Amino acid sequence: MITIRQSRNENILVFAVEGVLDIFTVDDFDAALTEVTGVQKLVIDLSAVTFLDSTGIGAILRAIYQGQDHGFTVELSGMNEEIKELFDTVGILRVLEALQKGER
Amino acid sequence: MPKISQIYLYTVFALGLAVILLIMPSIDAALLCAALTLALFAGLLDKYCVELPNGTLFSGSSIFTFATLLCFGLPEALVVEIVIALFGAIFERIQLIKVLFNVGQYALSIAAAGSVYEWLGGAAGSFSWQDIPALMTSLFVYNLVNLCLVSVAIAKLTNQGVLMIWLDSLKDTGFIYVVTLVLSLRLGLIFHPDRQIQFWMEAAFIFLFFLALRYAFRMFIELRKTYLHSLESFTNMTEDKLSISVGHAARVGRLARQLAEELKLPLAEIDAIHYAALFHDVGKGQVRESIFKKRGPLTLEEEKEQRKHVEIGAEMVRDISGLEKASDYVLYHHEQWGGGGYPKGLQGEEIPLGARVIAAADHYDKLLHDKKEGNPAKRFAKLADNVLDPRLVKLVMKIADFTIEPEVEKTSVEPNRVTEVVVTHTNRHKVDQSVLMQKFEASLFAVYEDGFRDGMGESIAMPLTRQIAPLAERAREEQKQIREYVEDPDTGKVYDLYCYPYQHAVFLSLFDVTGIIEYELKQEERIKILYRDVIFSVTQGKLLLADEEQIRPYSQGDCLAEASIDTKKDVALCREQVSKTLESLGIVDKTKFSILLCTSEVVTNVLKHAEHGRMRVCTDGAHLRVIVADNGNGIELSELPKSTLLAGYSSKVSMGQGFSLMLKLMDRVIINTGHQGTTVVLEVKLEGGGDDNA
Repeated sequence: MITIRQSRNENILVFAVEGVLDIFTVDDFDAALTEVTGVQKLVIDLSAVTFLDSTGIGAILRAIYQGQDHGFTVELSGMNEEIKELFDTVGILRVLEALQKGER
Repeated sequence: MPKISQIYLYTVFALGLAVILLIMPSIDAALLCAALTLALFAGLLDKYCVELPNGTLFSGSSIFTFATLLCFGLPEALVVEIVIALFGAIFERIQLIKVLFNVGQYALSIAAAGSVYEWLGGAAGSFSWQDIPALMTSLFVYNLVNLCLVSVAIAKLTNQGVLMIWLDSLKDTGFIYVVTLVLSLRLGLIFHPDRQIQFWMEAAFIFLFFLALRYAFRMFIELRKTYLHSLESFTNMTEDKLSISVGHAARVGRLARQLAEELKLPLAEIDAIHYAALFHDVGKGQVRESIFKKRGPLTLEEEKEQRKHVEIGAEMVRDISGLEKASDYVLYHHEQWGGGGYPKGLQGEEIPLGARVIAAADHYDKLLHDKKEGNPAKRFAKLADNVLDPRLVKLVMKIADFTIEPEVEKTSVEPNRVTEVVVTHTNRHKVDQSVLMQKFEASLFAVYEDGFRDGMGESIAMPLTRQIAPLAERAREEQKQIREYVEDPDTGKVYDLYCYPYQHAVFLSLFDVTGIIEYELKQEERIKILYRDVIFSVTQGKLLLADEEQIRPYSQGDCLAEASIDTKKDVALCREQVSKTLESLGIVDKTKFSILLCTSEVVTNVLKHAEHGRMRVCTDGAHLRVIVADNGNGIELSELPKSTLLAGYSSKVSMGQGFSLMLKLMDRVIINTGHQGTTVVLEVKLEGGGDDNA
């Protein structure tokens, strides 16, 4: 139900997530996340994500906070209209923006 | 601490010490053990005083002081009082000077009371009905001396008038006087120097009763605090949306409450003002957001619309049970003392006091939080000219802090800090509600050996023998104390039963707690209803907390799909079912995504908080409903508002995960929750369908 293809280019790591990010698949995402070390930037490509709920949002937040602790930034890309709107509703984009500006 | 206060405190101690030295030598060493035991009871009670729902404290320790006076004598009673004062020193880390003052204060009080008692013919160990007037007088003297000594101390420490404090404490004293009188009378009457069993049982019982009472009230107060907190969270949610400083309503609520308390309004009035203050801006949620976010001046039209928020707010609050009074306060909180406000242009005392209080608190909070130039205190004082009630301006200037960021929590405590320490110890004299008294109903003491007997060895009839005898039997066999609630199936009365084994006998105390339980339930029910109404109102009817009866109609209609929820995989299966149904109904794109999202949230919640659940998709033609029921322990309702925005993700097991999303995306969410399980109904209106919910 979920595949996370990882590709690394120097200091940038890309997670290309495919499928659904919910309570059933979130453990796989978290597992992949714990192995992230020694990068400056993590790009989470959501273009192949068909569905995502607040459990999935929780996982993405964890990625963002982990980046805070381990010194990498997180970039979200490829969201479809619905997911983008959802992110906006729950304020995840605002959190990212604030972190990028260096305030918290 | 000013010199004069110190001198006063030390003088009281010195006088008390003199009295102690005078009386102590005549103590009977044989009675010391008994006196110390009672002192222990009294000391513990004083430490763990009962907090009544109105916030006042009552310990009941002086019951033991007087029981000691009646049964053993003045020197022994003096021992009890000293121990109580020392308990305060040990457990509450009171400054030495105040401990000494307390010792002096108690010693003088009981010495005066004891002397009066003896002078009127009372003698230790032989209390009888004829001594009641002596006891009454003595207790009166005790309270009088105590009250005077304390009032002067508090007045000196806080620079307030002695008389005012004296009168303030007087109204509490009446109730304490009666409770202390009745209970010490009771202990005095059953005391026989040769046969003390009944006396000690009853003393222990009163002690336990007070502890139990404390626990019950504490639970209730906690509950109330939790609900209040979650109501505050709801207002925060609206504020965030409207770009009002978050926490404004909560702070205004607390300051308004403090003002109302200072004005010595009745408790119900204080509550009404507090709630009204909490919701004073709730109507803004219904006025166009852009108006409140606009930075520049408003156009005439916008101004008119903006002003409507008081009427809308009042309307919303009026629908909340028990807050009808608060509704007017919301309506008039923008009126001005000089008559220049809205909606009616009332002036002076025409404006209800509650509304004036809220206006004062509201202005105070806004002044401190806007970044404009100028001294906020001066600017606030100027409002007394024609905006606010001058008397309230003065009061705010007195109790609130203008220099720092107003953490109201802090400011509300600060002015009383100095007195607090002395006050904790005078709290033995603070109580306002007679609930306690009414609930102190029937109680029974018995000894169980071959049958039930009273303390004198007479055989007595015991209610509920069939249930109680086995418990007493077990206590004896296992030589273990047993405490159990027993219910009388015929009368519905609930008893709190204690069994204490002692050699071959078991001492029993049986206390009727039906009244207390009912009282608690009633309070809980009241808060629940209030909470339900508030939620309904602030979510503009979108979130309905329903009981089983109310939710039933929502789960009827044609069933289009069904699935069971047991494992994580079922979340996807449920979505699939819903997805198919939506497609067959021609619902696509955004609406479809929203419904799938909310279904996912609810089903996920089932997996997190219950073992098993069931989802159904139904329609009555006008609405599509996703109904998810589980067998879990129920949702803690106070958790719901915490799940707003990101807050819900930070706590790992958030009960209300995703609820704010559901409220935003669904037309209505109906929840029924209890210990038998939770049912959540997600409702969307179908296009072309009728609208029966507006």
